[in-house]
Amino acid sequence: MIWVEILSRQRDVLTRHRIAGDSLTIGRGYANDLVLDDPHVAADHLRIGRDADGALVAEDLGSVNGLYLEGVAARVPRVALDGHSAIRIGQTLLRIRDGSYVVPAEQPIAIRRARWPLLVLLSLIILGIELIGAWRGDFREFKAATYIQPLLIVTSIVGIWVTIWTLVSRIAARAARFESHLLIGLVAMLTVSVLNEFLDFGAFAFSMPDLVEARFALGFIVIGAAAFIHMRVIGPTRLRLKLAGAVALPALLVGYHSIIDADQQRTLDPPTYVHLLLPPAVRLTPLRTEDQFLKDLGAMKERIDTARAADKP
Amino acid sequence: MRLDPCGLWLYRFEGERPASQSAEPHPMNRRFFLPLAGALVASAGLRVVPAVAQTPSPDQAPGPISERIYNAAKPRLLQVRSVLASADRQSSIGSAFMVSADGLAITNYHVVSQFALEPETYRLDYTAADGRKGVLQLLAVDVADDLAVVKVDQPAPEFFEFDPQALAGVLPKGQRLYAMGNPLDLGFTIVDGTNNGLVERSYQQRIHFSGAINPGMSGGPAVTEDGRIVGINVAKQLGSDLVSFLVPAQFAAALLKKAAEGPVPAPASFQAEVGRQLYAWQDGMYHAIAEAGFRDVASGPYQAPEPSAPWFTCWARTNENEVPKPRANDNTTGCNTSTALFVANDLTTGLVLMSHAHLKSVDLNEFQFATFASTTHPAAGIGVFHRKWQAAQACHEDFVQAEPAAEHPAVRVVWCARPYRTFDGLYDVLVQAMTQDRTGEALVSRMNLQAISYENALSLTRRFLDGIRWKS
Repeated sequence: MIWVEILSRQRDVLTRHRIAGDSLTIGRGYANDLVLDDPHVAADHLRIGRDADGALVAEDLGSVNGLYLEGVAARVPRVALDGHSAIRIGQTLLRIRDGSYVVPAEQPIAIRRARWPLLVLLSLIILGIELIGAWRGDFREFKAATYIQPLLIVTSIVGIWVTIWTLVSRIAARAARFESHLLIGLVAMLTVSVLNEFLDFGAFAFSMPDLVEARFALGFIVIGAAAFIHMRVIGPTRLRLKLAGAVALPALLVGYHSIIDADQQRTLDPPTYVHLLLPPAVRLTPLRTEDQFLKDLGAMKERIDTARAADKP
Repeated sequence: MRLDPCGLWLYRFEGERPASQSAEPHPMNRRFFLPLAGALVASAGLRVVPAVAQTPSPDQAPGPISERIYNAAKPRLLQVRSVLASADRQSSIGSAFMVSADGLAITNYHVVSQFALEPETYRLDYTAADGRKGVLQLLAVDVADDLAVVKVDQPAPEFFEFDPQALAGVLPKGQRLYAMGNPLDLGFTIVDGTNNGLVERSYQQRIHFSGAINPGMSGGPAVTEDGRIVGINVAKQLGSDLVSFLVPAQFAAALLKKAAEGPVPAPASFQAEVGRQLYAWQDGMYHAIAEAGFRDVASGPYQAPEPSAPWFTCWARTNENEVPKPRANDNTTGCNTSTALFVANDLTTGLVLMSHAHLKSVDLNEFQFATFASTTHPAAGIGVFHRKWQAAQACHEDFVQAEPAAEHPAVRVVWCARPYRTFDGLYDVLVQAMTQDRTGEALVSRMNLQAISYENALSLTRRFLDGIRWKS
């Protein structure tokens, strides 16, 4: 008994055919044991048989497009079949297994802890950070929108992000894995929130306005990392390609942002200082004396003059 | 005059820009609308100008005084046109008057500024009252007093003389004066008005003339009843009636002397000359501010410096009665100079502002209070950023403790400088300091210094930070 499995590009089994006997032929013609509708397959393309030891062997019957073994670039006239590697004829992927093929042992169903308490907790932390942020900056008369709006924004961002990945997952891996994607989305959002808080505090505490600028770069890196983990959940194959994508995405975004930023610096000229002040107690940098400060200002003159000379619009 | 320092500067200072640069765009100024202006000139000419026989001297001529003066002055008046050379069309119009037999005439710097700064692009033409036309040569400019000396391409048999009283600076208040020029390109005009002495609280000396000066009359003469020059039409106050300004004659006499004695400068040399004059002007003004000293004003538990120089206008405002009721009090006092220096059509500079905002929380926590302070008092420059004139600014910020520490609260200072592109060594500087010694209460002190040298800015910064202290 021989089993022929037709595989998808993702190596999922599309159809499985049971052939009684020790050999079979595969092709587009109706004289074959297995008929394929692939136009790049010959009428009589492949013959599966057994060698002297009884192991399965595939043999090209003289087709135009040939026989290929998965992972081998050159076409082969004849190949031994181990039941693991797929072969390709035309544009169809096949895996041939003997009736005696040994399958792995049965996996017990793991009793997984329910994930929803963690998801709820993360959501509450994220919303809490947003609420505290809104309250911290609210110096006007009370308006409900001041507090509802940031919650809506952050919920929409996570919602849209997770929905997209769930859909991609459903299409590519035929499993939505909503909880996993939601977990990744929430962790990424929380990371961005906490990073932003640290950068705001750091910018004021150390008088470093550049930290505020760094929020974009770090935000994009978090997005890239999250995208990589989403892709890994969808499928563990081609991780290098996915990693490259996860690196390229933030790199492109950071690059684009810095180009836009540089253009704005030149044309709109937004002043670079810390716009959001915090209570005096947040300061961590030591006080400068007035003399030191004026010396710093004096040293800045050369930088300003150099930039002025270099800027020829 | 508006005294709101936040956001409305433009309105305020456009009011004091020279007449031909009024804030309300005046279609008559523009060549585009000249067909209309041309028709007006034709009809106005028929109605107003009487056919009068030659009058050799104003003293002997009969008729009303202004008619006498105008008839004598007419051959000495010029209309000055700044012409876009490539299109051979005017881009702005002003007036001028002859002051010497060899063809020297006086006008405003702002009438010739386009040519002075961009001689490749513009040309100066003149039209005399009798219709003679020609090209003007620029001999000298005085940016600080908005004057220029030009030369016509033919000798002038008749010219104005300066009034000796005006040169001595002892013009009686209330004296009748007559201003002439070509307003709105309608034709040469004479208007009478009153000398109201020098403008008070102004760093630049200007005669307050109560008469109707209109766009296009800039650079024209203002004369006494015997036809002698006391001043040069320069500006009017928008949003007021008949409040006009003249440059005192002594500045014109001095510039004329300099131009007559010196060599004829190349047109391309004026841009650098304007830069030098701006540099010298700011040096003089900022030293005068420092010399006049500062007085301490109390704001809550703090005191802060305010300039004592008489040409600052000081004001105060509060948010106490705002609706909804503010959750933190904001009491701001400030002083600013009320004169701005015309450099080019789109560049007025030389403004100085110092303000102190005493902020005190009513029911804000310390985070909300800090947000309140940074939102209501952002560290912002004044005026409009023109890339044509200025390059990118750079800022530096730090927490600073002035000595002795027992007298000064720690402050967080943001210091920004924006260099001028065309004029070497000049910057617009912003200093903003917020006290860091309390939660829920702070003094936000700000100083804007336009067109200042780096050294002057640093020394004023030191003086400013030294002056922010606890109330003694």
